Amino acid sequence: MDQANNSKVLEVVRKFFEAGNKQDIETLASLVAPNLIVNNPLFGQGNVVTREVFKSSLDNILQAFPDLNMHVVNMITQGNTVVTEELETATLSANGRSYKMPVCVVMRVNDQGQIYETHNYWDTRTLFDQLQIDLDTYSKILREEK
Amino acid sequence: MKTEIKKVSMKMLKPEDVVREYIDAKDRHDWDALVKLLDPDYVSSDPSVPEPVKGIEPVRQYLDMLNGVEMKTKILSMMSKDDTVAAELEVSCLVKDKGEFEGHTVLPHAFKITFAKFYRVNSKGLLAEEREYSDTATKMRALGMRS
Repeated sequence: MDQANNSKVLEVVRKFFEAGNKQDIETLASLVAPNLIVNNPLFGQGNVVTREVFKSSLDNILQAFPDLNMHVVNMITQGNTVVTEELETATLSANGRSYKMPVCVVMRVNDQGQIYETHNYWDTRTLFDQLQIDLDTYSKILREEK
Repeated sequence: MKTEIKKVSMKMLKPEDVVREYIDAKDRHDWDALVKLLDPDYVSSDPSVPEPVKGIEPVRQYLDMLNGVEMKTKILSMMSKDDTVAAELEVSCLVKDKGEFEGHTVLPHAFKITFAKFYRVNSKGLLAEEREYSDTATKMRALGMRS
């Protein structure tokens, strides 16, 4: 993949983080493929998520963490892949506790300029210790944010 | 007086090559090869360790701890920008003997873990910093321990 395509791929991922920080769910959804492959330590590997489910999950997350911010520290791209190192901060509305956590996000972009796979690397213990909750409580909060 | 200037040919490895050699040396438990790649002020951070680890000696201690573990690292992706290298890694481990890790008994077994790392290679071509992105609970489960 040439320099121009690298820039295009990088631009898609930059827009994703910008939209995330503006809590712009419609733009976020427009940047992902209709069937997004999601990998993260909470929900496991290789989950295929439709755009509607993606929007609904984001809505729940942003209601639970209304001030979610992803501060991008590093962004490196090669081919169709972008690896982002970011410092994430947010407050859990349910108990008012905040977290600050480094996160690595790997995103892969298809020829249509849509993110088709995301792999989030972060530590659940770092999150839950700061929020003073456990996995069951966290899952319950996200389910209730409808 | 005629001064002869000798040209010293020093081949500097690219940051990605430094990281590949480092990963390979770690898999081989080759301390001599490993230490040649590390800056004396090397810093490593990992969510399962409360504070960043500074200096080379802790790396030796970590390698000693892994003596009974066969490791093979598969590089899922690697890319770099200037002095920074990002990599997604899958490490296959075989714990050969019963041992202890952070006060827990670990029985012989095989497991795989996936994580991401950011490395910084300095102007001397040495690894100066390593930041790991992984899930402690997943690691503990892989080791056969409760988190």
